[in-house]
Amino acid sequence: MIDSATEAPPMPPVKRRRFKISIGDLILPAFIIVYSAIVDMIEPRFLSTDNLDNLAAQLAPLFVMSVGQAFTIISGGLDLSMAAVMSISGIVGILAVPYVGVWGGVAVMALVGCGTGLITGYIIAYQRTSPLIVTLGMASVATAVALILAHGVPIYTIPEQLSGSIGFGHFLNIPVSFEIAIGLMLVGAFLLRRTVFGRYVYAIGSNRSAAIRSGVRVPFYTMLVYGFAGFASGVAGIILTAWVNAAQPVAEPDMTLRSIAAVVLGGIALTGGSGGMMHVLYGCLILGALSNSMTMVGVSSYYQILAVGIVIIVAVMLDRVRRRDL
Amino acid sequence: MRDGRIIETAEKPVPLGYFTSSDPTVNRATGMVNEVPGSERTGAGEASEIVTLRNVHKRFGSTHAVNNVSIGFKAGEVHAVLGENGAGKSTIGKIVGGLFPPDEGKLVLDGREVHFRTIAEARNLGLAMVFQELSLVPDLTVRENICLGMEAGRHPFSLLRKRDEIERCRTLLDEYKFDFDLNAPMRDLSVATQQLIEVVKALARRPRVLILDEPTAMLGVRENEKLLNIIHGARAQGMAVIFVTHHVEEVIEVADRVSLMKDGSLVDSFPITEGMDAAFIVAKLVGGSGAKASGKRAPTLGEEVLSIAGLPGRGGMAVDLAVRRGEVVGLYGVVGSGCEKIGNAIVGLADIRPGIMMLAGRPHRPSGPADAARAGVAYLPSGRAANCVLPSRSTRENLTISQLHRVQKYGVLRDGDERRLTTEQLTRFRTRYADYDQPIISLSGGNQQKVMLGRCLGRGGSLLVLEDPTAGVDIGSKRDIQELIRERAAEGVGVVLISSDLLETIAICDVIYTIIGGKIARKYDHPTIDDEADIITDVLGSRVEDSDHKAGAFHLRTEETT
Repeated sequence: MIDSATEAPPMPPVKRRRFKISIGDLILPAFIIVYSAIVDMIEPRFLSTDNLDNLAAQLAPLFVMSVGQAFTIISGGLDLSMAAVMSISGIVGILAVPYVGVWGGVAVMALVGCGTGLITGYIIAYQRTSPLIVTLGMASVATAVALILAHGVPIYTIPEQLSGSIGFGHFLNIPVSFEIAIGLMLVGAFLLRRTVFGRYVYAIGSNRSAAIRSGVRVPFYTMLVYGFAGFASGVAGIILTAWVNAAQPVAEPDMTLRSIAAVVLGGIALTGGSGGMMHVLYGCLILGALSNSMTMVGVSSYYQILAVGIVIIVAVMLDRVRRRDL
Repeated sequence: MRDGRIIETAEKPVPLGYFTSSDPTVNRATGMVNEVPGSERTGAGEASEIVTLRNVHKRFGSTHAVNNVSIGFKAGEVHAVLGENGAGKSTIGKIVGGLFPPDEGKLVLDGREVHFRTIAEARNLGLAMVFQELSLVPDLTVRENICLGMEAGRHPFSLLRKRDEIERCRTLLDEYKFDFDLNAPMRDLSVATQQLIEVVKALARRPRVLILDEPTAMLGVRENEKLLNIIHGARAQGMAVIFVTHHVEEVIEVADRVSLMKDGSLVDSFPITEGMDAAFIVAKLVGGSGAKASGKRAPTLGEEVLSIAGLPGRGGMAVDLAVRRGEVVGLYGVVGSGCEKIGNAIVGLADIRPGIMMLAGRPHRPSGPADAARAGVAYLPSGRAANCVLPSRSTRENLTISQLHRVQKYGVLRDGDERRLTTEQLTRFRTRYADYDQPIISLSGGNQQKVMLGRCLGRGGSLLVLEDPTAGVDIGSKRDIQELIRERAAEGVGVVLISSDLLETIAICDVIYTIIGGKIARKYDHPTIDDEADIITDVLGSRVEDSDHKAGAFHLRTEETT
């Protein structure tokens, strides 16, 4: 850039471009479309209404969790306790149903998630500890408490109303669970793009030291980030409990890793400070389409795990390449 | 790439002046060394150009950073490359140092055209570049840092040769008349000393060309002097020294020849002769006179904004420090003297005892910059990359991050208000930008600094704490920034200025406190350029008091607080 001579007037901004689309942003959607088209040629049922419906319902818990995970990663952190928090939310919520009713139980699930997240966030932010270790420890604590409360076995007494509505219900022919996920994504996008909170999340992830010195109350907002991630875990707990018709003390423990994978795969830098909700959507669609299509084509689940692992590693390598371009 | 040459010199104790008489030449085909003891340096002897750039072009995106530059660097000559920020002078240094190749034109070494793929290749051919960013490992000792990377070429599990290393470091320090504790852990040393060790580390590799990219940016007065000694030493040993800088005073002090860069082109290149002064060179560069900021001294001073009572003074007396409305108060000392700690204390990044702070008549003990900001203290930290810029965010977000309370309602941002605020402030702070929604790192350093100043000044408040507000900024922007500071003071704001640039401090401050070893040495009311010598004497102090003397008389606790 050219430096100013004193008398040179600043140039006016060229154009207001609120929605800029670069080629990099189109790679993932293009990949999803091409991949779906190829799979559909091999197995025509892939793009059938039935399967898409199934895919959406399958994807919903991961999607919800990834929205929360995206916040921690954009702020320069990470939450490894999300699946455990999801499990404990489900257990506590179902145990609370006899006392507070079905929808009370659902609220309890979200609150337990949010509360656990705030505690994690408090420890990370105010005690200045590493998110990696604290959330790993919290995962262990949450799993243990869930096992103790549930006496080590899944609880199958799920109210009909819950599984009927959120679990298998449809609104406008789309699974309600998926609509909840989309709703949370829109909330996330609003928070990130339009609120002071979101702006601070980016700032903290971009340069924590600068954010502190600019007068941002970094610990407070860091705590809120983990609170939001916990809330997302709780919502994922609601959806999963309703869908599998059981509250499991150890439900889908690898979903934490998959949520990180989805976020990175979608193009959010692990170093923090950039990325948005569309990236989360792309990442989840790719992961979901991959495992769903492999099941349909008849790939054994062992190879599916292998494929997902490879995709995650490739995603991290792509992350490196993308940042070198910058 | 193996560091062949280094091992050769490393294996045996190096006699003084060893490499001046027999600089090994390197076989480029193998990257290894053909050591030819006693052989002359290539070329025609003393005045030969080691490195030459011929018609070099370099572009970064739409910026033509270097435009058709031809320049030669001779052995035994200190060659300064001077220019404003964005003039392309750093790019010249980086091309020679092998950081990136030229787009067009030739890089000629010893009469042969060379293409470097990595910095290591350039280093093996004797081109050593010292970076502004420190490449030292804080947990290792001085010796380990100097020798780090010199083990290359040995097999991975060979034993470290501690005695050889000590011997080598000693020789080196003797040559350059240095005195470091080789066993001191790097993290215990001041940034300025670390910067010097960075230079020594480059010299340990016995380069033929030493490239210094704005090496004095982080240095205090005392370290600056040491650095100049190093440069003279390197010249005496027959190295070509390339000295990239924007300090014209340093050029006069140390350089044999200066090349002036402007907008990517080489404007002029001439030897420095006796009696040449700064004004002469600046005039050639800017095409006008380099007059200092004026408009100093607010005529009427208001009531006290900030006071710190009971700071330790030299000779055991307690000193009170006060900042009044409309007043610019400078704290000046060498790096590590403790003046930056007082600034940190005012914004809540450090704790200061003894010393009771009052802000606008109320006790002031902020828990952090956010807390201080609420009390009316705006802060511009030093260290632009580390402490200021949000590199992945846009210019707009970087500017408004401290002022979002003005453009929000119930926590929701109002886009139109924010855009208006951005345009208004970028104009007011004379920032040159194309699109404020582009990442801030697309701006030049000087313009980034103006955005940072805008972030700080735009917030408002009754007190400003500014650390090195013009560090790494070109002459034009520097004048702009200094004027903006005076303007703010004239509006009735109290300013605390902590700058490592003494001339700047004298030029814009109404009061200067000099600080040495954590103690206030003296207070200067209405300082002028005539006080310069006294101030330097104050902050350098007697020989006993070193800038590395860590424990100040303040009991300081610095940390990133909540």
